Amino acid sequence: MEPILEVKDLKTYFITKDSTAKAVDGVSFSVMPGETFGLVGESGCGKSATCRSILQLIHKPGRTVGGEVIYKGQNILDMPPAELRKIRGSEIGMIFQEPMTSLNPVLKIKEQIFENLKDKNLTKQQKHDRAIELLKLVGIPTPETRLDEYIHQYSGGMRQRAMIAIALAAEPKVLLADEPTTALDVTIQDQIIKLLGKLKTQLGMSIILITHDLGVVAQMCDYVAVMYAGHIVEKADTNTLLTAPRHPYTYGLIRSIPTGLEGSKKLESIEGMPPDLNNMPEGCPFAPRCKFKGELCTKVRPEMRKLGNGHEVACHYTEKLEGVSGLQSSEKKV
Amino acid sequence: MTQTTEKRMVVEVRDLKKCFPSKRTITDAIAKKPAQVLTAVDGVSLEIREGETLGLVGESGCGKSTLARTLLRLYEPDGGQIFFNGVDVTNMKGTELRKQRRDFQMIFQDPYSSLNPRKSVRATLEEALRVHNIIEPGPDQKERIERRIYTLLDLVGMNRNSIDRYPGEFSGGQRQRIGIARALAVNPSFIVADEPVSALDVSIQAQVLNLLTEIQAKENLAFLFISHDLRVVRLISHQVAVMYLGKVIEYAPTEDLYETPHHPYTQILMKAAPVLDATNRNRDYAIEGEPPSPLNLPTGCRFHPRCPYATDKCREEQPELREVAPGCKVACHYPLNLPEQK
Repeated sequence: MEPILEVKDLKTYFITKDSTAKAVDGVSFSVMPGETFGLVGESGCGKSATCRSILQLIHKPGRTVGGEVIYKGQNILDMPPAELRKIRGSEIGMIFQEPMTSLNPVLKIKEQIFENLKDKNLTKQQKHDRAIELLKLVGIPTPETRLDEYIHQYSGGMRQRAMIAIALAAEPKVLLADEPTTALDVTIQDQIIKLLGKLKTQLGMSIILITHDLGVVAQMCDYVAVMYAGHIVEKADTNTLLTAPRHPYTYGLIRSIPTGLEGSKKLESIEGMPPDLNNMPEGCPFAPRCKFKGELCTKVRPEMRKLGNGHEVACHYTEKLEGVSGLQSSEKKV
Repeated sequence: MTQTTEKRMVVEVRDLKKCFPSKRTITDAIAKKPAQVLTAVDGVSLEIREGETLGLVGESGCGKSTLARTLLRLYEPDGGQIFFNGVDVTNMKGTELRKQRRDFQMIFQDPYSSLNPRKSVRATLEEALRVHNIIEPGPDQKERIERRIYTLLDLVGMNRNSIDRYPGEFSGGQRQRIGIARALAVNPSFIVADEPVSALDVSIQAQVLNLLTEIQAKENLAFLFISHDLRVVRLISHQVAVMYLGKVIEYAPTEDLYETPHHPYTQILMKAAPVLDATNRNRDYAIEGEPPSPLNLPTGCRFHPRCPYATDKCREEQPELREVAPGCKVACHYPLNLPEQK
């Protein structure tokens, strides 16, 4: 099967007079049709910048300085703005963390849906019917009255649903979801995760999910890439990544999550903090915090190595993690 | 469990209430509409002993933060009583209250807005020490203050040379450490931590959680730990209280609560937390809908409109918090997982 979206060696830098922050530094991945692809990492690792670069939504002083984003055989990054606009929001849709800041507060929900409808030649009645259908699809009760309301009249969970409905109006092939559940309560997060999963199968879209929450990844994603300081450090199918991580950072991330089963009540944390993007260490960006580091790590940047079954890792000493398990097998509950 | 009874009681709250009347507009006044009252905390009772952590969980808007702020007397309580170390502080005022305040401190959620950006670490901590006269005045007061600040920085794992730096120079995790140092500066016996790690990344979150556990063991502090993250609460708490629309609906020792939740809402909360196992995916919603507005509370049990087990009794009669197993209290007419049911 051909991937629907392919990102090759993407580089987005934030260039100022004094420094260059390499927010995205040579990121490559591909997304298959109907797949949910997770991009995981901590704040500042470049996951949102990657996502925004795909649609060229990076603001100055940020600039995509290299790489390709191939969608339907075309490089999005080379497209003239008029061509790009035909894809952005329609072929590739996007939902954000904060519906209150990303939706228009002075337009009724229905107007925002109408704007984004795929078929531009519908009559007023058809548009109306389609909008009701969309609100029903995302589980908004009494859509007939809700259509005429504004975003501030919706509750938190409803706002996120409305944003999804608006994005879906264009019938996108790929949906970029940037932390769509981070601002929500667990109960509502649970509803949104399951809604996205259902819609994906129903509409045959691919989803690129940006998140910092490995629980959400475990529940939603087919395939995951872990980012650290602008680089992808590990890629694998979700189950392999969670149970048999082969990069020390992935391993540390998984072990940092309290499972409730720590006997000693002490977590295995990752010491230190991520490097300054303006001032990256030589060699592996994770080396200063790494428990497994060796001689090579502070000198040479590790390349992605293929371990088989789609599992790739950028670590010189990945053998040291062989046989190390991520999650304890007893971790089935909370 | 038998040990707990011997530990000194630090905080005791009885039947605490906090209401917020909503603003009446001029049209409401003309129409003679009564002012609406939002009861954010409705008759909550808690006990926290030294060296123990009480975890407080619930969805946003359930009254967790209001409860914390009311019991610290940052809001005026509308009913009930608050005792700190046996002293009734419910109606205390002025200098008397300020003296008591030394004993209870708070750590905030957002390490960015809770520190003054124009104050260095030294100034931030010194202020806390001076306001509460922690260091006796004297010829070498300055040196003693500095020494105390260094001790605090060591305690929270910050480098000593960060003393003259400003909050803007630190990352979120480090700022949270400064916030913790500020709370510890006055030697409190009780700390309220309101979502102290939810703004932090997982790897940093683990560091701060370990730090809090360490400090608690060292200083024998009592903690009220507010969080929406059930995993974090399980790790750090000895007891857990679950809140729903202003009321505590379940209150039990941590492991009992997680192993055998008695309230349907507690069970649903746990089901909603995403399981860290890709081979174990559940397609059904843990619960439909969202909590109702606290301005317009349902009759009877507040949870009945969303409860899968609700009966007519639940719609009419509000359940009281009662003990159903040793140390486990639940406010439900039909508690789940009772010993005889198993």
